[in-house]
Amino acid sequence: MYRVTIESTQHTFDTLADMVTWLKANYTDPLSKPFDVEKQVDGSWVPNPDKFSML
Amino acid sequence: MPLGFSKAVFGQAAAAVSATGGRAFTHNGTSSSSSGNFSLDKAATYTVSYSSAPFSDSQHFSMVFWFRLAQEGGNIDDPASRLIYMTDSDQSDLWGLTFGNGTNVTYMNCLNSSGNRLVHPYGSTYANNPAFMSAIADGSWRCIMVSMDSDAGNGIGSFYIGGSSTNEASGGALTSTLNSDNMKYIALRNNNGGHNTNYGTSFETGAGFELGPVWLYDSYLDFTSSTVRGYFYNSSNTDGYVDGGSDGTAGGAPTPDVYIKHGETTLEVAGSSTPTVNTVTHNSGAIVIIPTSEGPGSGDTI
Repeated sequence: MYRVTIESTQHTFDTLADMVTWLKANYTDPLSKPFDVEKQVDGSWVPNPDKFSML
Repeated sequence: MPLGFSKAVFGQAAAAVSATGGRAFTHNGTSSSSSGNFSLDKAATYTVSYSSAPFSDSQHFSMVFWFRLAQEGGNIDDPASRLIYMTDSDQSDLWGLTFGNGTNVTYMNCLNSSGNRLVHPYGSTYANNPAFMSAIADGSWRCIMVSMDSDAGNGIGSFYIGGSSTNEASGGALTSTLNSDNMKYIALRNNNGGHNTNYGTSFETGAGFELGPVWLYDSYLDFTSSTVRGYFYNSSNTDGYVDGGSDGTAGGAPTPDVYIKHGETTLEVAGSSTPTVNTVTHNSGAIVIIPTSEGPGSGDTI
C-alpha cells in the first residue's frame, strides 16, 4: 500500500503504477507540485523506498 | 532586433555585427499553435549520456544557463517545457529545470521514490508565472542561476535572474536524498534523456527558445553572493554575458561537474568525464546553431 500527500490531501493506492496514473490524471505536470510518497510497512507509513517513473 | 544584426539562418552568412558572444542552439521546427500544447512539424535536440554519472552529491544542486525566448506561446509547451534534466535510466530519480506555460509553474525540482521538491521564482518580484514569463520572454539573452540545498537555512535555495540582486526563490525544503550517482543522462529541451534514442514530443520547446551555455553542479552555489553571481553575469558586459571559456571557469566560476556549450559545429561538454552526445530528431528536424554574432553576449534579440 502506498500513500501520496499532495496539496495537503492524502490518497492511497495499491500500487505505485496506480499512483502514477492518478497523478497524471489529476495534474497536467505532476512534477510542478511538491509531494511525499510513503509505503505501509508492518502497519506503519515510512518514506517510500520503491522506485517509480513515468511522471 | 538592433540595427546591424540579422536573424540567424543556419547555412547563411551573418551580417556584420558590433559585438560577439557565445553560441547557442535551437531547432528548425515550426509550431502549429501560437499558445498552449503545440505540435511541432519537426524538431531536434541533443542527448548527453555518460558511462558513469558525473554527479555524486545527493542533496545539493546548482544550475546556471543562458537562453533567449522570443515569446511564451508556441515555444513553451503546455503545461511546461522541461529544459534541462539530469536523470537515471528510467527517470525515477531526477533533478532539473522546467519552464511553465501560462499559469503553470516554472521550477527547479528534484524527484525520488519518497517525493518531489521544488524551488520556484515567485518569492519576491514575481507573483506568479505570467509575471515571471513576461519579464524573461522578451527575446533578449537571459541568465538564470538557481540552486537547492536542504541544509541552507530554510532549505529553499536561490533563484536569480540576470543582474538582479533579488533572490526570487520560494518553495519547500529538500527532505530526501537523490541517487545522484545513477544520474548518467542529461535531457535538453525535451522530455527524453540520453538513455533514449528518439526525440520526446512532450514537455519540449519551440524553435524560439534558444539554449546557450549551461553550468551544472551537484553542490550548492550561494547565489545570494554578488561575487558568485559575478562568475556568470557581469552587467558591464553586453547582455551581462560572461564567457566560461572551454570548461566554464574563465569567469571565475568553480569547475562545474558538467559544462555544456555549443561549439562551431558540435555540442561540447566539459567535465571530469566524457559523455556520448547524440542528435535526436523528430520528423527529420535539424539542429540550428546560433552563431556568436547572435548568441549570448552579442546584444542580439529575437
